[in-house]
Amino acid sequence: MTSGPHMMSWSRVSKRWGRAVVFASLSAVMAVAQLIGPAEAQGVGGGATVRLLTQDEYRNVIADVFGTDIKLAGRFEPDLRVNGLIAVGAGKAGVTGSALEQYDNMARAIGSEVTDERHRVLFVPCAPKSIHDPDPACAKRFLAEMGELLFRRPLMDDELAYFVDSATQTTTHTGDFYTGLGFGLAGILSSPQFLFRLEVSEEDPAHPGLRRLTAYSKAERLSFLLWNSGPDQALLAAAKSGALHTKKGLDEQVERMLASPRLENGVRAFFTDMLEFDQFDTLGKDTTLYPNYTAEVAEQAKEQTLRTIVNLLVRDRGDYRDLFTTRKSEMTARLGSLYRVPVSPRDGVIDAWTPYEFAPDSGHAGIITHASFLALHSHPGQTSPTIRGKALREVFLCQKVPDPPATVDFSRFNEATAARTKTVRERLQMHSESPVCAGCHRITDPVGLTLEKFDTVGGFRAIENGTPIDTSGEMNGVKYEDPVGLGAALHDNKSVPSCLVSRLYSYGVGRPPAAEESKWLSGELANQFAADRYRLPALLRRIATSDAFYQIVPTALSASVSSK
Amino acid sequence: MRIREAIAFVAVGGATALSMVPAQNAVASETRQYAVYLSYPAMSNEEGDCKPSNPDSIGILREGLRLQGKSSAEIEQAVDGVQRGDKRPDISMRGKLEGKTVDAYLYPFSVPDSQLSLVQGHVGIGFNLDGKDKPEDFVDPLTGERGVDNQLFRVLGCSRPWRAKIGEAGPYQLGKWEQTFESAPAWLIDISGIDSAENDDDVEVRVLLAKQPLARNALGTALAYLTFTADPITRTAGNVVHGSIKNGRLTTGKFDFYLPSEPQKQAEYGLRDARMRFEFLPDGRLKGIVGGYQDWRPLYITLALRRSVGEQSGSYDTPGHYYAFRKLADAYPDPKTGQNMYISSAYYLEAVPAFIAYPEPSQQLTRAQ
Repeated sequence: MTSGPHMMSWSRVSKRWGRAVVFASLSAVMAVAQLIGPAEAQGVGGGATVRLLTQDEYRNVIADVFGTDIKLAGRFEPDLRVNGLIAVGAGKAGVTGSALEQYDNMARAIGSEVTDERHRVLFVPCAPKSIHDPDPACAKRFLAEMGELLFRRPLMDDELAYFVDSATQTTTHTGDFYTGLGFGLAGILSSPQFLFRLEVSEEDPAHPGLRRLTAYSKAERLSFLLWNSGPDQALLAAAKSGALHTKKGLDEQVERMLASPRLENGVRAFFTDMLEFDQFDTLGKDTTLYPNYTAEVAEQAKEQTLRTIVNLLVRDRGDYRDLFTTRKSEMTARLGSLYRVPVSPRDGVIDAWTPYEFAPDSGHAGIITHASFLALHSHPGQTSPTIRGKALREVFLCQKVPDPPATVDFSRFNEATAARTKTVRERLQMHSESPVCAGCHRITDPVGLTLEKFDTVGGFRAIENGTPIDTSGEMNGVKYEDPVGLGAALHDNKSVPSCLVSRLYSYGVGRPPAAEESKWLSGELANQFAADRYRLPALLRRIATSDAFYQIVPTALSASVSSK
Repeated sequence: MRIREAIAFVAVGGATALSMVPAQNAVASETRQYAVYLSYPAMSNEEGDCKPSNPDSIGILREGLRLQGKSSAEIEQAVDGVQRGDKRPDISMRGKLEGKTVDAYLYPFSVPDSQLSLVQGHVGIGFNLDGKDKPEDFVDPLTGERGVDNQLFRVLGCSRPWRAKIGEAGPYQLGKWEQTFESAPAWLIDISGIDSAENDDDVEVRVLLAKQPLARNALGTALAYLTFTADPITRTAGNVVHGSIKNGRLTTGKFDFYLPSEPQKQAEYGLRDARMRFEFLPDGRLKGIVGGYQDWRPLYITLALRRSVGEQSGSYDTPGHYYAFRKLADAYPDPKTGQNMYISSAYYLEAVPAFIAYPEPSQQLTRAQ
């Protein structure tokens, strides 16, 4: 465990919020409860949250503030996924002692690099009187500028004084102004005010009795939703001036952010979370059976799906439902080796991306036939229609499929004991013989079996153990013959866009929707999404400019917590 | 019946697709494409086929020092030092030419013939290239063909880097491919017009160079089903030959085979009167043999370029191989001297399934000009 100046800011926050905030599992409930106070009226909205920056958010904020050449010298603890989203899990994540040490290491390394000879001219807006002596005025200027971007609000006077003092003491001790400055910056970066998104509410003057996020918290929620990073200076300025609390000011900022290339970052981050792509970090495959599945291919499989999503939803302003039917994508020659399709290496480089359209008879159509989905939801050495069916229903339909009961004897279904069967379909038929299993498997298996023509890593296959694979299936009364038909059924399933609406909102607010929010999401907002022809930017605009997104309804807090 | 297809990658609506454009009214036939991940001289060594054994690196050192005029005591002192870990003395300058000391690797004829042992026996891999069954020829154990010409095996088969049993590669051969696996442009094989992989009286085989090297899979071997861009260099344009498939074995007619390679391996592979045979393996790979007459001078240069490394690590007597090549070369004599300049050879080829993207005709024309 580290000690010294960096830890002092945690102690200060600890005194303010209670010890639970610092080292123990940080309870969003406790912190929020102290911030929002009692409510006097109800409306559509929910609780404020305290969210630990996810790994991607941390990286993005550092890259946005300091540039991409600043290296992160440390290791993140795994993100926590709750209710299908890391964005929700971040509100329940704590910081262990070892994690805090890692954050401190990263903070020190960043502080040192930002103030080194190469970078200081870019970030330090003043020169000290002597590089061997403290210069509190210059340090204050630098730390105030950086602090505002990192805390997503201006530093309070005592906060700034504390970090300036830290820099001054270090300079005195080391005889180097920039070492002190880097140490002060490291203090900011290892503070809970940076590592956590601390949402603060206030009375809403427009709706007496209701509360709303403060302008800075509003800017933060908006920025992470659309850009997956902290607010830029323009957004902070709008918060500072109060413009963000006006309809015109909010609309202007939302339109500016939707038009920015950084929107793609935000959309990629949301779908990375929704599609559970973080699980690729621990995904292994039997390389004897599937030697073409390499770390590079796994990374490109993820990237392919994200490129497909961004191309369709952001660049082409397409219909979200078409993600389940489109054959258009991008490909590299290396990834093409997994699909066993020819992909001419662009500029002769096998890892270069090139537009690609799956052939009509390839069986691949829609992102559920991408290697990313198929590989992620399979065993290392064999497919699992149950896992694929469960994932499809949970990820795209927001349905909850229960885990199997603890008493299930899985040996009945594995290949060795089911040797008399040739296909997975035949083996899974045994589920119907068990009433304990049949309930859930009726939901998952018919969907997953349709994807059986794709092996564990997503390659196409027509037969299994010499037997043609039957991919016919049925979902909610809609029958189909193959994955293309399943994609079409998803395209036309009303639950698919409704699920996206709910997921996206939940992603933005960092918690499951409260009861009143759920009604609004499945009713008015889902209808608006349909009226907008299922365009994602339109849905983001609706959410980002809604009152509900920023309104704090304390009673909803207890509803969301109880839904855990 | 086979039909030649022009295969090209063409841009369709911004996407890339494989377009098969029949030159005439086509019936469906299959094209199989491969990337070669390993090639090595076809050896078929047996116990006791090299008598006496060729000298090892210490023996080569002793002889080199002797040629440099060192005394017996000096030689033994140097050998003792090397065996204790001292730096090996440089014996490259051991040749004598017109009274001057010269580099024995560059001027191999400046040292006496060391009379390297050559492979004895009559089991050898390859093809009967000249249609004759001569005393020095082999019988191929894999096909039963008699009169097989592969004198390269006799030259290399008694030296450690190449010596190997049937179907195996000498350690030196695997190492050469490992060194250039991800840097040297890959070799490609395109077999088209396959109506039946078991029996087909006419298929077409092309051998060409890729613009990209191989890539590795998770096991460290060649990544299969990768797409390579064909490099339309003019000297590979002749690598087209017809063949037939009988009982699953594809055998081609004669053609002149040329592929550039890496100096680390062999500067180039040029085989005259070449023939190939392949088998389609159940796992999708292709395995086979290419045989033909090869100019032995580039072969010797490849050995000479390794200089003392070859003699020290490879334990082969470099100038000794020069004399062996001259003696066993069996085709294409120099009109003036009568010295055969080509030696019969055979190489294994192993390849993984791949895709080949051919440049559009306009690009080929530009390159050819």
